[in-house]
Amino acid sequence: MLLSGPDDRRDLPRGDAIDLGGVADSVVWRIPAGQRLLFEDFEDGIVMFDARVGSTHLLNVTAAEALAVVESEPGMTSDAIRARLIDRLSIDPAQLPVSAVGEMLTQLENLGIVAAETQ
Amino acid sequence: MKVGALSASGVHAAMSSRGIAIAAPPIIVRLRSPLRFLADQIRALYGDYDVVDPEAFADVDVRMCVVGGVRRWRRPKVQFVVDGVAPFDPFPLENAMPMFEWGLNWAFSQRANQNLLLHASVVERDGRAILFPAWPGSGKSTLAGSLVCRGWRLLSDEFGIVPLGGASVIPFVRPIALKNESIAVMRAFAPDAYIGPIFPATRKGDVAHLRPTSLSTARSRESAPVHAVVFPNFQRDEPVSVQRLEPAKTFLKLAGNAFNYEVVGERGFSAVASIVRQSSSHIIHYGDLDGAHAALEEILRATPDK
Amino acid sequence: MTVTRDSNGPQIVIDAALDPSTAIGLDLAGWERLLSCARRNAVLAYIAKRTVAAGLIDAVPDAPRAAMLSALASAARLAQLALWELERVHRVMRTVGIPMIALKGVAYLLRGMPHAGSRIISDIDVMVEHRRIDEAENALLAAGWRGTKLDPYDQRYYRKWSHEIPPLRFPGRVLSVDVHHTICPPVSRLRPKPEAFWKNSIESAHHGVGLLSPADSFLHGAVHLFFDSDFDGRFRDLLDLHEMLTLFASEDEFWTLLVEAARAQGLGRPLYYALDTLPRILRTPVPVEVLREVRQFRPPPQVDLWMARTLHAMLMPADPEVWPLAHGGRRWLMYARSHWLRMPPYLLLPHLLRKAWRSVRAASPE
Repeated sequence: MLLSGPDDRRDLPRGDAIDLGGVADSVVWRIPAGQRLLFEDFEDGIVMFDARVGSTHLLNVTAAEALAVVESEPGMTSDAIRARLIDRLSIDPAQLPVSAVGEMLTQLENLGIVAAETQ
Repeated sequence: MKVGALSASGVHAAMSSRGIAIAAPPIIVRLRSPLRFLADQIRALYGDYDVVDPEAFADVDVRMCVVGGVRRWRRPKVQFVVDGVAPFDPFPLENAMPMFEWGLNWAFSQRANQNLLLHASVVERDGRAILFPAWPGSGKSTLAGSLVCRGWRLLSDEFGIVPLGGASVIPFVRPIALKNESIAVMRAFAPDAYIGPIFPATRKGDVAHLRPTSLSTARSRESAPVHAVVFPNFQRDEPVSVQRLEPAKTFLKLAGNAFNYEVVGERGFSAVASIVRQSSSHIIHYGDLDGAHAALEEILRATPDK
Repeated sequence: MTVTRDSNGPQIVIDAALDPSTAIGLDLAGWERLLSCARRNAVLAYIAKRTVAAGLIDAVPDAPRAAMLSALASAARLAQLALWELERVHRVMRTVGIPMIALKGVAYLLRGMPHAGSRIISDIDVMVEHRRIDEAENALLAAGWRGTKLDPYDQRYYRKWSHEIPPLRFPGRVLSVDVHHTICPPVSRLRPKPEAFWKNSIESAHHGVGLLSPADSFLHGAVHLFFDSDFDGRFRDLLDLHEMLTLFASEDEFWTLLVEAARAQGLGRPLYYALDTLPRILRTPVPVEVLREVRQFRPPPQVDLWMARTLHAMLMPADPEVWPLAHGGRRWLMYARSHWLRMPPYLLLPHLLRKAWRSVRAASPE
């Protein structure tokens, strides 16, 4: 779902694998304090710069939209985010399983792009 | 006054004392060294460059010092010293020239973060710059050198220097480093071009330097907007082919191949985006230089200015 | 023979470091000396930062200004990487409930000190309690960090004689993390009690990462001026101490606590040397009564005189025109250290081992 930079990226800060059980209802998602994201929209993908960490990522539309959702409506569970995505992108719900959204958010959290909060 | 206007012993005398200061825009480099053969090689490759006052400001101050060799059984080596530090292991004495060239590139890249530094060769024609990102097998220097021998202007064979805030490249005209087979290829392609001595078996193989044309040195302060980003792939006897490369992929390849993308941060992100939006991006496969040139002509013809 | 350029670089650097406005009057040749000497001593980013902070950057001529801003960009990137690494390490420590104190460069960053960015080179330093260090190491390894290439023999010596575990690095990232359990090698003549550091520690603004108290921070820096600091970078270490005094001097009771902590922890000698050298080289203001107080920690008069001279020679900014460094200088400093520390040469192994590890790492393809 979330595509990171290709092999020829050097020194890209990478996430550390800590499983936060991102699908659980007790976890909500926010943009971390001091976060600043810049986007460049191209025909074959969205390139994003995380100004806090200084890292660059290639996102597909779903991931970019998920970030927009978290930014505009902080504090939602991954279920609620999924519902928003299905609505905004007019996707068939079967195409976006619950686990996929949880995984994507966990990946984003591992990269420091979003923050998870246990309620 | 040009370096070439000094006598050979004049260059040597300068390097042996207060140093010879050479203007190689965007920098001034001051070089001190007791080595006579190095002085001769500098005079040959940098003959067209302006000499400036060695007591004036230099962006990079280099000493090529002889180390070891005090004991008869130890062969002397040469060391690249900048700001009182020798950042590399010493080279065999006779390889002072390639060491100077590589060392100067390194020193420049360390102190030029007001620019995005792409790892690429850059040439210009008709006010349009073509950028060849470096990667193994790209032959970026050979390709750039061959174009320069056919009248294109050289901006650089190593750095695409993009001052932050824009999408143009400024020149850093220097001798072009040719390696291994490219040396013979270039001699055959441009028999009248000046290529310096071959330095055998350096860490990067055999190396020789192609002197930049006077056209290039004369216009060494003129920037040019990036018109096309071309990823060259050399495969002997391969028929020529050209493909477009999509913008996001181009973005990641350029960012990944830059020397200092991470250091310049946000402004680097914007610079790469500007370049991608302003230019077209292509992959070319080629098996000989004339084929590559034809492909580039086609790219120029087919891509209007944006 | 090539001519050595006239060089008052060291004095220009000291003056500019203390007051950037002194550099504004320089001609271009003087600017080049400043840049070159500042680079040699890795303080160009620091001087650049102070010049910007003083509102003077636009008064700097074009070429030197570009050089300064370039150095600032590099230092800023390392600072960004350091805070990111700290955040990732802290994330793991928090999960397993191990308290953590930030040390040295990354601590200066957390304190918002102006020279902080330029102090990060290749790693960040943190401290955990001795009894939890194995747990900390295992947690980091489980979360993806990788250990060093030292063989088991060297590993044992490193762990036995040193005050830190071998550095860990997360694959793909630039900086490594040094996890310490105290601030001095345990076998040295100096044996401060880590419990006091923890007791006096304060919490930084960074989500529960701890900092040493101001007095302990200064003492840590003073100890390292004579212990771990490489032969290069000594002037920079001195600048750390200067910056700390500038920051802490106005805090309540700082000087009293400083002398007390030194006495209680047996760190009086490094404190004496630090407070003796700083006013002489960097014109650091130190209250007269404090100078009088620390004289109780002096060495015997002949050693005092000899050390004062040696320290002055060694702690002034290195002159870039001098290359290679005279062997005599290095041997002198080694002797000074081992003499003062009364460490037989074999116990300098951890220091040398660490340097060897760094050069192994530097040589490996990455």
